[in-house]
Amino acid sequence: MNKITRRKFTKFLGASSIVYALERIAGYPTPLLAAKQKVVVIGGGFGGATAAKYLCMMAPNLQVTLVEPNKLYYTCPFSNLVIGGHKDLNELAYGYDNLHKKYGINVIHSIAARLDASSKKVLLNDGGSLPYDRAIVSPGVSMRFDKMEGYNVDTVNIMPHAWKAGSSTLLLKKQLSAISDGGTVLICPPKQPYRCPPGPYERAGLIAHYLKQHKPSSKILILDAKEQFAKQALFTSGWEHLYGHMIEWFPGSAGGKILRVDAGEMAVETEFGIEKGDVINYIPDQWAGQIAHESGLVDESGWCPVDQRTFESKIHPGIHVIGDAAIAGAMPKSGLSASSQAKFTAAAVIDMLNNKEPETTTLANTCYSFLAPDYAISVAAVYNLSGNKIVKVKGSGGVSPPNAKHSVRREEAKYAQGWYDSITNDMFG
Amino acid sequence: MLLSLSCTSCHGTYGISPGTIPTIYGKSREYIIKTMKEFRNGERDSTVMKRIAKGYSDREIFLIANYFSSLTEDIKQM
Repeated sequence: MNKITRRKFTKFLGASSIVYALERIAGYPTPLLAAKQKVVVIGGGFGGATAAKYLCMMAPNLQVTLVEPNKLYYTCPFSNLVIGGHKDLNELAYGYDNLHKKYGINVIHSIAARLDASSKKVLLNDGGSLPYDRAIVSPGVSMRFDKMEGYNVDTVNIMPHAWKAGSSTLLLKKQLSAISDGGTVLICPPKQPYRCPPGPYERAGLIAHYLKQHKPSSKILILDAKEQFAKQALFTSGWEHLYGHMIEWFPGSAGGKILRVDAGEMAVETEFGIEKGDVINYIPDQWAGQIAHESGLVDESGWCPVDQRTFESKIHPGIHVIGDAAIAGAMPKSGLSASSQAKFTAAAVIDMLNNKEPETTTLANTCYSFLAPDYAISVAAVYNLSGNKIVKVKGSGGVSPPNAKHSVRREEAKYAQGWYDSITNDMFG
Repeated sequence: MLLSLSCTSCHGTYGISPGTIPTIYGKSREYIIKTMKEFRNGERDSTVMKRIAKGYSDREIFLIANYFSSLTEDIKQM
């Protein structure tokens, strides 16, 4: 980004425009700006990459460092299309070159072990450390291996969760292509809260789309820990319309609740008996990403309590937690929630570094789910603050209409692709 | 300004969309206000915008319209 465009952008910002104005009074470098203030962002996904980019766009004077272990990021959104055979995993891969070259972000591909709030440092696994004035942590989720009998770190190689896009996604796809016609696929969604509430059900539809074409006698059983799920009426009517009775959903009270998994037998045990699968997509319960635990940012729930006005940790001031790991009131754990929170938090961090009261604002979320490559539905909502809590704005949002024509679903599928193109470009472009 | 950043997640950075979602960068203030209000009261059909527009007050719509209509050409050069 060149200087002029930065200026144009910052012109519209409260805090930064003042910083900029101060900077422009020739010969008066303020003490604040004399030493570059440092913000370290942990995690290069929807929350972290967006936060780092917008910090630089809003306040070019900041020194922004992004710590992300992987050189390529694979988006979870659209990874169900990879499993269904409609996208290549490479189409969902993004590097960090633009963030470095265009925005001047210092990108470090290393594993951050933990943040030390008292010394205001991020400690890296390789022994290095990064001092910060404020930090933004967007660690996503980690899988719980302590909740289910028979389920451990090795199980994921046999029953891939595919809940982080990458090799696990490809393993699940490979397993699906190996089953014979008439096979059974078990999908076992986790308990709330977890990343991407409608994700398991989108996956069921896209797997059904593949099976209907190639192995039409096969079955998909969804053994759910829950009694209901996101966009349920739209999913169930859409499945029936598209796939007849290929997909069957069992709520927790009707045999969906899993008591034990047995990777050796390729089976799960429910209250109603043993269920065998040719492919078992067991999606474990989740909590905040590892570094949040290591840094003491989680409460007894395993998620991160934050001041919902600024996303600053309630446990460790100076550290902001955004995205899936944060307890963000009514906002769901989705890519767009994280993106929306990231921009808002970037502005709050800049204000707080300048000893200004952060602005409040309105946040938004829109999530698309595919039932087939040309059939998508959406949920949307707008959020604002009521006291210290993020709540849905009354009357806003909701899901796609029931009983809509296929042309409406097709149009939403087109916009889903547009959503994806925009948000990934907004992160990495 | 901050308000408008939620729009850009779907409509693209600065409202410049790389894909199928309409670009709102550089649209006139009047057009954005009119369109948002029509989405909100159901006069204009849409897939998702009618649900989103209901979350915004007149004042917020004005601020959003003001932001996107006042972005100037050189932002595109980035």
